Amino acid sequence: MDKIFNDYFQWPVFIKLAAAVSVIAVIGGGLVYLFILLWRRKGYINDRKKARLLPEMRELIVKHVILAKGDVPLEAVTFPLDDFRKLGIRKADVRRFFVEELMEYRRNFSGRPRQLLTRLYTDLGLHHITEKNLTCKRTQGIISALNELISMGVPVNEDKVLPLLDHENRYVREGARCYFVKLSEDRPFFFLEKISTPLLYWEQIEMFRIITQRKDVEIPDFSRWISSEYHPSVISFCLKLAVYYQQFETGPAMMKLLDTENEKLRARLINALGKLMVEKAESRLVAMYCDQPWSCKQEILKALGRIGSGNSLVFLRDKFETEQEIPLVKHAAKSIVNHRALSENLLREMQAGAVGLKHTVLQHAANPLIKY
Amino acid sequence: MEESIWYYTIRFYEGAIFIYCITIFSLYAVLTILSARNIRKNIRLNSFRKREILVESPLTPGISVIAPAYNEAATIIDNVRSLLTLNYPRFEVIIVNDGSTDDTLKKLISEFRLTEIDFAYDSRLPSKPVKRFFKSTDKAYKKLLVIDKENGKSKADAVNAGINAAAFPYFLNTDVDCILDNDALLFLIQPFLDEEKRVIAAGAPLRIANSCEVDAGMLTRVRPPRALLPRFQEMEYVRSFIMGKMGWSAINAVPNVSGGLGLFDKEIAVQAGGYDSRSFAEDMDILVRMGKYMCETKEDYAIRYIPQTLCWTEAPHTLKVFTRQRVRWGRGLVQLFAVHRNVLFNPKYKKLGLVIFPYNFFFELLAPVVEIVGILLYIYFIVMGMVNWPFAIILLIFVYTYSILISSIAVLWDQYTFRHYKSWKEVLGMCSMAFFEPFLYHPLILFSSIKGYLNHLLGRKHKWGNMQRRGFKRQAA
Repeated sequence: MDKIFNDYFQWPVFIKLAAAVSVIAVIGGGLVYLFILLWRRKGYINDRKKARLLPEMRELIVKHVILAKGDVPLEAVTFPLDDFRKLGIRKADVRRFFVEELMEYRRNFSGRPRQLLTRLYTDLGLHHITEKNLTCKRTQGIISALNELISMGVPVNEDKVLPLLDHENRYVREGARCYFVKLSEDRPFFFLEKISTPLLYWEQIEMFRIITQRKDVEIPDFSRWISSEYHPSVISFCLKLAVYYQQFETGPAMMKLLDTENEKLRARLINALGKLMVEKAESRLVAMYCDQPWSCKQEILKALGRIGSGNSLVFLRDKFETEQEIPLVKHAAKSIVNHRALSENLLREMQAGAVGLKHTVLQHAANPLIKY
Repeated sequence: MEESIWYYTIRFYEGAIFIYCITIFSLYAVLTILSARNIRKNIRLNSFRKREILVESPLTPGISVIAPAYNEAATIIDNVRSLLTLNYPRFEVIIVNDGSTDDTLKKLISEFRLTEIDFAYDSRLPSKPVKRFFKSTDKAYKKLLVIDKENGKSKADAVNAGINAAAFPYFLNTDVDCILDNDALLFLIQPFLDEEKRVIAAGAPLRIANSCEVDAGMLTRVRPPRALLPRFQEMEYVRSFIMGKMGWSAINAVPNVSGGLGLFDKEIAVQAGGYDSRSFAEDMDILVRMGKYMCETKEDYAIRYIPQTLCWTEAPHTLKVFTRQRVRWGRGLVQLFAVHRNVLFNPKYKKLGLVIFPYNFFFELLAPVVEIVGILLYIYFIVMGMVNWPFAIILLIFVYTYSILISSIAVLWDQYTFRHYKSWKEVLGMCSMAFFEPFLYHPLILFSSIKGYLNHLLGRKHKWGNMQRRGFKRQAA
């Protein structure tokens, strides 16, 4: 052994390095296979444990929550808590399985079973750990806690969640926003005032779902946030909500913003005006068409078709005949078709006169088999 | 004097090779760490992100799934059915019949009750002429659009035609014979919705389906390939996707999104000129052009990879088909550097010019050349009796053990994330490939790459062969 060491120090540097790396690689390789063994073993044990516990958990949940008689008032319902505790929910992994099950059931049920599931969760005191986790150092812990509270519909003291709206981690901020939207009684839209970084599209989808599912709050007039003082992503999000709730009164606020330099936002405003069928916006859209980039032109043509008042048919026909880009020609034709009865004669006349590509575009637009 | 120049040249080459080797191995080590962090981040993200909300949301963006088909009559019906049942709220499936000489189109027409329609086709991207368009009269297949075009002798040509007809802002480029995970679109769209930067492309790992069990176009049991050649490819895919691409994705320096499965921002792909049908590495070429376009328009962008395996494909199972494929890839790489030579070390192209291209130039393009020169030099040393055998053996052990370590870590990450293989035997079978790969598989890759380079330099004509598919093992009824 001494000889090897003595020789080693005599070797050139690169041979020394190669030998050292080889030894590390052999040891590392051994560790890698050990980890594969351990991970697979752990996964196997976990799967087995889950497979054993899940039927028991489901049986208890179904028996005492889902199939519980509906004649007892919600407040008077009691659960055999000891039976649930016997499952071993004090252990972290069992608790996780159990809470995941509760969340899954809660997602799939509405009404009384949904409320009972929340009751069971709080009666078992499972929310205490979750609440504690809101102030833990691990961001993953905070995110999981927020997610659990949202999924189980358990509100906590808002002062605990408020600082999280400004957390350095974006996923924590996102969770805190969702919490407010979902569980705050008096200020579910408070978060919109605090947004200074882009509200990502994923967040918008998530919050849109939560807001549209909430039936216990008064939906505000979204024109309040359709203003240049708010972040463009907030405006964009509120446009979607205004369209969903058919808030026709938001039209003027949208029109006020049409001069924005943000092209994407302008396109979204035009889109929303079309979807809300704001007839007052029609002349403005027609007037601004020529100076617009491609994306806004496309939205204007679509919006005019959605509004469908018949006032813009001449404009649409002109664009159909003069535009060079096929997508714009296609949208002009689609919008004419969307006018239905109002454009029947015009369409017949155009079809009689059109040849080649223009004829194909008209056929395309009128074909019910082609949706887009 | 002459002898001393030769001596110093050789010593210089030895030193340079060693530094080259240490650099590439260090880079692998860095990629290993980056990929681990990225995979972990993705798994954590998915633990609280419910992608199911995309299914219910009216805000979910639409995706056009584009799948070219050339003489796929044997499997086309199952494969199209599988694509039509993808779990996503807003998508269309565009099958581009690329001038098939068998009855692919006939089968599609009769099975899906297709009728010819007038379609306002916008030929923004170049492709061979499109002859006809078909839509189904059956509402169950309303998402299907079939394009019948002249054969363009490349997938790129067919995909361009598909993009021209696509209605949605994103398109998925796949092969009609690939088996996609049912949630593939839900997974792939996530990076596009979840970043401040504009994500222009996203990909996910591909795996080999040769020994998997398939039922009506759906995967029912994942197995590593039984045959040696596909199994080596599986190992290579695991290493390349799980470790390589995930590592590069962590620093937003993904070099390419596989042609078998990639979701792209249509607007940027069109602005960049779409696929180049003359390119032998069209998947890397389009990404380079999209990246160049973003840099030239000064827009921040990202290209992402996610670790979930979402696509299973049949790998070449004969040496002939395999080498033909790899020769084409090798040729494509040289061609790429020839076409986009202005990108290399160009700060205007940011990471593309300063990280992705230099890495690919030194460690992908030059690697086979360095290796071949090294082997020739080694033979020369042996013949001349100039080899210090103990040191030579140490160096060989160094390269061998390190390559095994890297491959093994790739398997480890794979096992940590998804545990696709059911039994221990299957995992061990995969691990064992790492030990034989340097002797059996790597020389094949080396030979094919060099052949591809020579073909390009000598301007030889490339023969496009159709890969004869064996089909998948069907699940017993």
